[in-house]
Amino acid sequence: MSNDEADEVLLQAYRAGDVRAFERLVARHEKPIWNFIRRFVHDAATAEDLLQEVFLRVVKSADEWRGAAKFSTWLYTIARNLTVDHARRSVHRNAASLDAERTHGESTSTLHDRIASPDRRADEVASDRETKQRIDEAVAALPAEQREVFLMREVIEMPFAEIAAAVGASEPTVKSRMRYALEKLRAALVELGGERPSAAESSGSG
Amino acid sequence: MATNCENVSAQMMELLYGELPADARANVDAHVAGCARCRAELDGFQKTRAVARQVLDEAPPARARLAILNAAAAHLAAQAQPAAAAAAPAAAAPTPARKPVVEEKFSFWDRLRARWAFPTFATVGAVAVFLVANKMFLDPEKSLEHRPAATQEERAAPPATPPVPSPAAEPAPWEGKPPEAADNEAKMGHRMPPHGARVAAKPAGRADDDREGGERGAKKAKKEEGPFAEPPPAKPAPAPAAAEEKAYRDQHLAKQKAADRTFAPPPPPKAAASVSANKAADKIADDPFAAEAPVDAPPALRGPAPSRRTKAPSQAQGELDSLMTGEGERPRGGGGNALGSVGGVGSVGTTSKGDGYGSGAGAAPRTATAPRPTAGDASRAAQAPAAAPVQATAPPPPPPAPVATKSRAKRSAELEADEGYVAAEPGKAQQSKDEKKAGGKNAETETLLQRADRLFADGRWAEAAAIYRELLRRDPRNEDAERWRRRLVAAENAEVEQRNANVAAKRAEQKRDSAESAAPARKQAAPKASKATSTESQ
Repeated sequence: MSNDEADEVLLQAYRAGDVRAFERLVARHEKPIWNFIRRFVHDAATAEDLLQEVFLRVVKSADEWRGAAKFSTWLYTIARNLTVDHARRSVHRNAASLDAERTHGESTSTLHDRIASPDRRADEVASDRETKQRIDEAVAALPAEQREVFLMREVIEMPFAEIAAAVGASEPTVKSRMRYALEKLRAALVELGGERPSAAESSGSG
Repeated sequence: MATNCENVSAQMMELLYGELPADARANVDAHVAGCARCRAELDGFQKTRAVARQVLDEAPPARARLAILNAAAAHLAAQAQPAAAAAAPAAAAPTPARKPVVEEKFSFWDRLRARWAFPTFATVGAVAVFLVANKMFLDPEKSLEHRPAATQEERAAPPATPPVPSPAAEPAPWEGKPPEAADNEAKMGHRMPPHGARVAAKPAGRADDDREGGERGAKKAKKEEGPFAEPPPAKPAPAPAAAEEKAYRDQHLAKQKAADRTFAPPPPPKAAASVSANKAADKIADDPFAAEAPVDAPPALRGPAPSRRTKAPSQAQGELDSLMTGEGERPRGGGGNALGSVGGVGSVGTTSKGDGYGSGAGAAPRTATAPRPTAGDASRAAQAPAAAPVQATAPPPPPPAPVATKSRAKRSAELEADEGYVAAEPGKAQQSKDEKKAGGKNAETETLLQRADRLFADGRWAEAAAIYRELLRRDPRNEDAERWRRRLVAAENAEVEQRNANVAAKRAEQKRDSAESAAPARKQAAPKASKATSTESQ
């Protein structure tokens, strides 16, 4: 995220009547928020509506924001609350099991069997559309507390302190949740056969 | 500071996401570099992050940003122009018709209201309908106002009606209802059984009680018939109306003839509907004074009054007395009572004709019942010159008729004066006007009233009295009821007076005839006698 101007400055500009400033704010935050919502709401249309709702709330409440917290924290807190509320109201949908049988042409095999084949690398696995879907399902299978922390950290790139403020938990608790989430996902990836990350991924992960 | 595996594992998240302070990071990095277990753990997390980040890197749909920006612009515009605030939401929702994800939150009371609103209104409506129906059909006090005339007749009977000799076997000439009553019933949407039938359906002992019981009787009758009494079996509507109208006309004719038939030979027997009227007329023709006898009997000796419609003139006078007694009107010395207590007063000066025929106290003519002229009456009579032309147009009566004409003129003048006196009271007059406007029911009453007034002015006392009686029967509580009663009394008195005058004239004529017939005989006898004396003398 390139920060020519701070979020707070852009918001003040919007309140003064500059729609372009708000456009920059949207461009800066819409993708993380979208991905965050998308991992909670599996329906893309619903996720889109929620995304609009988040920014509409920002628009309506722009005059009430006094700068006590960071704009990003305030924004993601709105997104998180809306998303979690919606997730609670919606019918609980169990994530498809990674071991569920899938039909691939004539052969019937599990995703684990297919992805775990030795001739596939991690980037290839990740680029596979079906693999993405399975990873989505693995993320969705996380407990809600762990999932939201994981998404806030990985997708929105919020520091643990801000995550703790957003979710109303202590920072060590947030770190623990994050650790548990990562361990579960790693276990899922091992099952998928992507435990052999590419060199590029290894270098860029720091 | 020595760093072991436990410390590295505890700080793994900060190490993974680069949130570890620089000095701490150096120690951890040194440990990880030398510890295979910690390095494997760190690599595993890093690989997982890398895979996840590839998957979690999606771009939102472009239309979402467009919608958001439009909404933001609309919000700004709405803030800039508060007047355009209403139009803003429509422009602020460019998102293609998609239901809002965030559902509106309704409070508990909102949901309760929404859920119970219809049943509540339905219940209230049902209760209201029940109450209205209850008032209309089960409360006779209210429904009596709209009941047909046959029922009102029962109400019209004042409780203090003194008993009148009852010609028990006399059939009711008013068996059919007058056309107005039939119309009333037709408007009410149901037909009441004929009054005679209803009375006959009751035990004989109770019929009169019911009639005299006023509203109680009406209630009872109403209950017996039920709120939705079935109409009489399969009668085509026009036929009964015609029959009733015929009966009504017959009755009128009978009454008129009863008045006119004083010198006429008794008519041939008619239909049963007019038997009583004919009977009364015959009675009068035979001995008009004897016809008054039952009226003159003491009230205590009179029997219960039959149906008002069945009354011969004498019974009508009894009814008139009851009206007078019941209403506590000004002393007019009316009816048979005049012969007892009031008659002594009322007969002064005006009974010379009746007395002249030696009819005695019991046969005192109705002129004795005329109101005593008072100063007020005289003045009111003076205020009513309108009656004079009516008298002038009246047909010339027989020899004693001038007396009757004079009394009629006087009575008309008095009544006109009385009406003027009533009309002079603004409240009463206004109320009367209001009641006249009350509805279609009053239109018929108006028609009848006009007819009665016309007949009264023409001096057709019997017919006028009949219509006034009918008016009183229909609407005894009318504002003008008192005037109708006065006119009824006056008309009946005038009728009796006229009849007496006619009888007196007839007797005088008979006397004169007999005298005239005796005179030639005497004349014839006288020449014979003179001739005899002359022959004797010769």
